[in-house]
Amino acid sequence: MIGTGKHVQTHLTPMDEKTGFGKPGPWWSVGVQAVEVELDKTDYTYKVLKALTVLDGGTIINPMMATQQMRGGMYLGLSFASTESYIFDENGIVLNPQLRNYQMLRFGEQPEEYLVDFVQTPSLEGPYGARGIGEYGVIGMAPALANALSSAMGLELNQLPLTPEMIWRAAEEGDR
Amino acid sequence: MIGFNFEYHQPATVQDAMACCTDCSQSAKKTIFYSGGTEFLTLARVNEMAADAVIDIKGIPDCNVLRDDGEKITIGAAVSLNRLARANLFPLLSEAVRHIADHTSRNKITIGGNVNSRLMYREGLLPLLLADAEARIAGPSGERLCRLAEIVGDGKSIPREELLLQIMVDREAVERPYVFLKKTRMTKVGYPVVSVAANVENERISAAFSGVCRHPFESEEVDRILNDPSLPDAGKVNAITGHLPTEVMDDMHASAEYRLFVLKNMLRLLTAELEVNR
Repeated sequence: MIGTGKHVQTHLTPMDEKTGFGKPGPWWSVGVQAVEVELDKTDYTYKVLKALTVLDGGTIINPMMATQQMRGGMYLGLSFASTESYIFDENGIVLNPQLRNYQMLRFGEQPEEYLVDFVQTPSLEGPYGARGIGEYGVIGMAPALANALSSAMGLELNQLPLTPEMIWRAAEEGDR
Repeated sequence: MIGFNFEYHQPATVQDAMACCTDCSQSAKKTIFYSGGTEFLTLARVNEMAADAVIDIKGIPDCNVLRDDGEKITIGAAVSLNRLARANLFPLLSEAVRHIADHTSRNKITIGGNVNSRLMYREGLLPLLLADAEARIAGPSGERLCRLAEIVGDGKSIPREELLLQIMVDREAVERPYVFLKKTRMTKVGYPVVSVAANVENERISAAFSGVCRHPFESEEVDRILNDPSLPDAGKVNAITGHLPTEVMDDMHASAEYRLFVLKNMLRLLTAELEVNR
């Protein structure tokens, strides 16, 4: 059996050159994300125990695919938040252009548990009521992680990536 | 892609390898010995290493020995880190090499390559420094034995015309109680901010460090401070900083101040763990 189909988004308008108003992209949604973190206050290393996303994804057509999309997004967001970043020298040269020194979270360093659920408010403009849910898993992870660690430390941690050294530095400055 | 041509030689004996090296050198070819190839391949690819000829030592039986004859452990330079860890003839060394790179890379990385690495970390060297390992080396005028620290200690590299064949360690040295600790910047695979191998002999702790200074080191002065009962653990790191062989590393992986903070934590853990084992 072969199925084909297409969907053309309605109600899009070009962006006004002068004002920037318009609706060039169709999707917005509401959701909530959270993490549970275990922090060792002696050396500021930590482990993400749980990562959670609840999103209004419109009608969820394939629940397993949608859930996995959220998990993948959370992993990506946590990797950005905790370790990934380009490091530049004083001339703006990237010092870590290879995977040898551009560090990402490894397999086994993901949260022990991902929790995902959806609120399903059908979108009138999407196919069968669905919404685009491509990137929502990523967006809230950095602030969730920063808030969790800030709460554990009793400090405002507002710089990424949240490496143990960054937390240590913030703690040292907080003590002064 | 590697952007230059090079000759590949695979000798079957030490004599052939040395003859090959002499031949290549006489025709003014820049020649390197290699085995796992992880360093040559990854650095040549980004133009940080070059050679006109490479001599692969994997086919030389002497370099693949891994043996415990009851008195000495003999480790061929071409033994991979994974094989070394699995055989577990030297538990502290197994533990240290298990923390180098990732499992796939450790199938290729050899102990000879690691102790002579271009990268400053050389974590496989730490247990070998503590065990005062010996090295069997082939050169243009024959073979010689010397302390391993003489040729790769203090950040030194084996001269280009010489080949490390084997590393030997006394049986007694591998039976000492030990601890190995490592912290990376963040993820579990990575270069050490600090790694330390330590063991106990006659109630005395000896420790070797990587990541702290420009090269791995073991120092009598540092050991003396570690074993000083009049110094509290928290004070030891300050005492040690006056006796380091180079300045504390300060780079994109970790600042010097943070490395000292990590070192302080490790010294505390190290004394606590070894006290339990005694």
